[in-house]
Amino acid sequence: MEMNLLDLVGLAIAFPLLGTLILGLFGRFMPRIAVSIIAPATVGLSFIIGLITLFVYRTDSALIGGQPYVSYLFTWIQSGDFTANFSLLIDPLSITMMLIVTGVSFIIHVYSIGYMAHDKDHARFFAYLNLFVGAMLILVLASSLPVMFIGWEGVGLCSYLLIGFWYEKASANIAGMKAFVVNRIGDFGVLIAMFMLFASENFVSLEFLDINGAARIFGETNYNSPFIIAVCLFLFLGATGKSAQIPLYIWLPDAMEGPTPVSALIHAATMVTAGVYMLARLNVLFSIAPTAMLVVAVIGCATAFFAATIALSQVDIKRVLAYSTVSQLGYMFLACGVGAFWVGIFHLMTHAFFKALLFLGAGSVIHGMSDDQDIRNMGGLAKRMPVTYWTFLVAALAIAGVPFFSGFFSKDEILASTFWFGAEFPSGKILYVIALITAFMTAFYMFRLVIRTFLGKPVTEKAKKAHESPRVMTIPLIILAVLAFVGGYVALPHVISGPLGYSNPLEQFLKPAAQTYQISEHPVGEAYGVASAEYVETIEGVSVEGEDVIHEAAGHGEDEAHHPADISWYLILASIVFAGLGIWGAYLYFRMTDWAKLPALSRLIRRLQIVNDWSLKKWFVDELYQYTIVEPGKVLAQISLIFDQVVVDGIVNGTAGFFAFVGDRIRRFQTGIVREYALGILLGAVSVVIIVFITRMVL
Amino acid sequence: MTSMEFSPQTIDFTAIMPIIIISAGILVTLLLPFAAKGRAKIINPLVALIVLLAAFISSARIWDLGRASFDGMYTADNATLFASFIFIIVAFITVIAITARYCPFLRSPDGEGLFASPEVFPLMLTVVVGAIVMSASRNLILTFLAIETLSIPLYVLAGMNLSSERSKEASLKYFLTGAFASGFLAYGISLIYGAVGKLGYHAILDACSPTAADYTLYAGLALVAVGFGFKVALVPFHAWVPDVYQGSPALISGFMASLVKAAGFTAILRFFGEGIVPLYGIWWVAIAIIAALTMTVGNLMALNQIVLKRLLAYSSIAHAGYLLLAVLIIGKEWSEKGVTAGAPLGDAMQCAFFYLAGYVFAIIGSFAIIWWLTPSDKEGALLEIDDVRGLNDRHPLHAALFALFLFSLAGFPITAGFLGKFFLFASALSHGFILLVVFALLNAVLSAYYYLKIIVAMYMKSAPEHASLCEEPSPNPWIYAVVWTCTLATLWLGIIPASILGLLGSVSVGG
Amino acid sequence: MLTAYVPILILFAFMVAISLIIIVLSHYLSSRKYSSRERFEEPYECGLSTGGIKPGRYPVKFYLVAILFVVFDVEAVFLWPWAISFQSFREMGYSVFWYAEMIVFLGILLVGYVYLVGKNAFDWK
Repeated sequence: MEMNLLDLVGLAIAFPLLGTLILGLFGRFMPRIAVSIIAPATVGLSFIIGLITLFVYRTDSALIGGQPYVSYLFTWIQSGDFTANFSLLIDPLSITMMLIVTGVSFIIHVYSIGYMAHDKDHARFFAYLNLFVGAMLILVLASSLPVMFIGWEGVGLCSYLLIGFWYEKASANIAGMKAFVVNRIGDFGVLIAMFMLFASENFVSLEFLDINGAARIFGETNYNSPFIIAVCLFLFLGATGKSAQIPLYIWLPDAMEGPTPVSALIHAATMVTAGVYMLARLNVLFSIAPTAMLVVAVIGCATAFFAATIALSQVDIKRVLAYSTVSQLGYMFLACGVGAFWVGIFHLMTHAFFKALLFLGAGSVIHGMSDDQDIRNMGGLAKRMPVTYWTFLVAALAIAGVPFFSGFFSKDEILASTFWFGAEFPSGKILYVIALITAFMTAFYMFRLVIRTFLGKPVTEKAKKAHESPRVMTIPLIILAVLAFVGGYVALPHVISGPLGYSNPLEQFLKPAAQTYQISEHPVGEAYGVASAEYVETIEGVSVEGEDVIHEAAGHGEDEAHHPADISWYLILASIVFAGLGIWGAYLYFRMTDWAKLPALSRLIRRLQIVNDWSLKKWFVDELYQYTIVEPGKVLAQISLIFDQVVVDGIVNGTAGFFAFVGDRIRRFQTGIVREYALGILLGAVSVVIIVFITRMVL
Repeated sequence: MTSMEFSPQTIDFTAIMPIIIISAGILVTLLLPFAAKGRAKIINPLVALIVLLAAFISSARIWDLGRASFDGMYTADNATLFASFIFIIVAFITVIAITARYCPFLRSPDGEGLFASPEVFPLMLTVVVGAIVMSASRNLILTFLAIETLSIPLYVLAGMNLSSERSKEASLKYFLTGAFASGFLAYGISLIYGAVGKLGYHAILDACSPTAADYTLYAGLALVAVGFGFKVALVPFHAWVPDVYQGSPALISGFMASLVKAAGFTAILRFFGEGIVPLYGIWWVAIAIIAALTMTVGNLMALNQIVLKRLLAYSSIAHAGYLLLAVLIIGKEWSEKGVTAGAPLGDAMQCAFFYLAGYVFAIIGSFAIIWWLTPSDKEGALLEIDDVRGLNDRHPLHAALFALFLFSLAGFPITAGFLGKFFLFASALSHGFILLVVFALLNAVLSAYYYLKIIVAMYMKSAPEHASLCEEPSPNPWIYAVVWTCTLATLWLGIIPASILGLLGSVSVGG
Repeated sequence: MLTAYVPILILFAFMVAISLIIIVLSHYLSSRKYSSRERFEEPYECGLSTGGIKPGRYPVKFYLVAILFVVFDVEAVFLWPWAISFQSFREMGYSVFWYAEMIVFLGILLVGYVYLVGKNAFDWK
């Protein structure tokens, strides 16, 4: 195999892992400054390799039109006719993910230098953080499901280690375990799906390219068959675990027990998006199972809405952000579910920027407030922490969907996709409406947070004494603020970019790798009882048998070029209005000092207090799980314990005792006297000869 | 012997180049110390290392070529070469680690002056020559010579620590029992010669037929098996092992447990596979009984051990029992198919070598940890499980690596030991040794108990109240050569077995 | 076939004969004293006067002599067949090889000798 510069990409994984090795083994003996240089440097190198990869990929003439390149590293497992290669897949999707992961990680690493400056265990922290980056890169670069699963488990492990980083704190340990256990439920789904694919004779290997390729052929005859739906739903179960969706979202808010940079990196910007990435990666597989796609869309939408309602009332600054993350992840799944995979990735990217920024800003606030996280104790921090305030504000505007900020473009793209989905599938309109209301709530709770934290007057002494964070923390904030602002301009809506005369670069780049594929005989929407006529282009450069009958269609709703411009403008307007309403509502509610002016509203608010309380208690979902799953589980565990102690241990201990006894007996032959050893050899030799003779005679 | 018409043309110098190089190195390292004093002493181990490197390269150069010398008496096929690689790597890292105690200026001044005698290097090189010839030999006389070449320096190496009574005891016990066992081997060889009139493996293969009632031959092969069995410590020829491994300097124990066992098994596989395989129906019962006995006795004895070196010694006995499965598999496979020169060795040979490679690095790594933990061999010989209690709190790196090697010995996943056991047992199952595999699995479960006992002590118990023997580990960076190589190999084999299996796939019979 | 073993048989006969002759001769030639009955009450009461230290110790030099014997004497055992095989090697055209073999062998023994000198093995003090 000839050498290609793209094979360098393996190094991007190697650097952070090397960093882990160095810091894990020798970090304790190294001066603080060395640790602070090595950890970000390894991630920085990976980022540079990511940029090189992008450049080489774009300039490689053989790889036009989103052609994937597979970089073979070594054969991992070979057993019978099963072979698993450790290879990396390089295509627009993985390059985009790689740049997001390494870029955001690098910034957060730098920030962590300041944030962890006073922690005695900073070397361990950075070792974990580097390990996380390595595992995450394995996840996004893997060319097959088993290899991806290494990364999948690896990031889960790092997440567990980092949530429980302050292991003296009991709550941190419990939260870490909760995250791990809940994630394991999801992992079980991924494993089942993997086994099903492996067992199916229609899928020759677990390489992503082969899965998608086989899915194209398989889809011809088994469009939306129960098997495919089951596989997709099991995969989605894994995604709900990792990406904190209903019903497995409960671990993410608790994960905020970890250091704030961890929340920013793992539980907001990168790891939790793994589920979205997996769906986009297996786009063809999901495309031939519209029923599963519908489930994804509904779950995503429901999660977005539900999490937003909880975020409305939370008083812990990081918990608000955590529920907001769950909600935004719901948006991404909604996008994938309606077939706009690239839009999901787009929102993933902008979300990585502004949510990382929000968390880092929150970290800065917590840092300034001497570890107080309750927003009721804050207020008026804008004057004392100007950089934090302004950058936080940029992020808040972005997530709220205010025009010209990145979140606006990506969220609008999702809403539009949902709308066009609804256009083809009438009851899908409900999704659009819910998404729109969620957008309103998002703006509302974000500005509630901004107002209570930064504006007004300081409520407590701590808030009065708050101070700005050191430069090593504020500079990453500024960089992320710039990204959170401009991040959206790589993919302007067609209705805007079209007249300006340039196409949508991110869409151009991503679409070949992440879009809905359509089987010719089954127009999208058929499963919903609606006919769609939009399937045109033949797949380019994908060499599978029966190419002529397989057609690629622009995913419903995502090809705005075909949509009427005026409706597109209305959609944009609707998003703006709902976002504006949210901000205005928050202002009204939280800055209003003279309640007497609006007695009716005041009364209404008091009535709603009960709702607020329920929302604060997270709709008692944790309690629901506690009594329906955890407690019965405990009873079962208790029964098993008794069984274990009485029956199993009895057998085991008895056996162990027996062997210990026998061992003690035969020990007497070991006398230490050489002539007895020699006698042993002699007797042994005689026995062997006799046994051989007897065998011969019996023969 | 058919070498009546021996002629120099049958000497292939490229085939025997590795042993020529090492032999030259023996002579040089024997005389060099007279010329070098003080700091110049470092030159002696350096020469040893260069020689080993050269031998490695010259072995690698004839990979896949299937060279043979002396009329096929000495064969440098891939099986020999793969075994040679293991021997040379083990010797290489051991030499580096020993250098620190040989050159006083390389270690901290308070350490004890062990290995003052420079003979340790020529002796170790001699062992390597013996091991390589053992794995290459296709003639009983040559095998016998090789075994003696390997053994005699080992007797001296075992007693290398002149300040320790236990070391001397080990040396003497090893020598006496070894000489006794060599007698059986020689007697067995003479009986076979008496019955067949030939000593080359292929000549024996052609001459012996399972139907003839040739009891001289059967007695002969039984006694040869006894001789081999002593070398690789099969029950009931194992009694010397715990005393010798405990008394010898820890690294030398590791050297014996790894290199010698690997050499012994390569020779056994060759003799049983290429020599007396037609008589499989006659010897398999004895081998099966010995295998079962060896794993059971090894594990049962290890259960109650509290001295770490003795525990590891018994563990190495148990591993020899598992490895005997490979002999049975190969015997069964080849007696059914018939041996053809140049044919792939089959998965049995592949898994035997994989198991050996995994075992070798885990066991020498474990002994190296003991050598590392204790300031001198006197303490090392007495180090108990109680002494390593709470080791993780005091020396986490030592504890972590020790745990890794123990996990590999016990056969836990992601280590080489797991895959080694897995491949070996799977192959044995597919050849129909169901009862033996069940037995081996039970034994593996049993063995996990005592390996875990150490790990539990290191991680979950608090440090002992009394002064522990490993309070002050020797500040010896040279031991890194051993422990990190073993760590790397254990994980490498455990995680990416395909790379080594690919190499082993090209291992073939004859040439 | 068995005729090949006749010389060995003769050798055995010689060995047995010579040892018998020596024992018998010494029995008749050595002087014996029965001056007192006490000799017969001592250990090993064969009539010879006991002497020396009871658990007889050999000086360690004895072993050195044994090792030196290997170096200086056993090589002669190999020199003999080497010498008589010269003719057949020359016929094959390998006389240089034939010579070199022995040089290597002697060289190895020489190294052993130098080692002994270096270790002061000949220092008989």
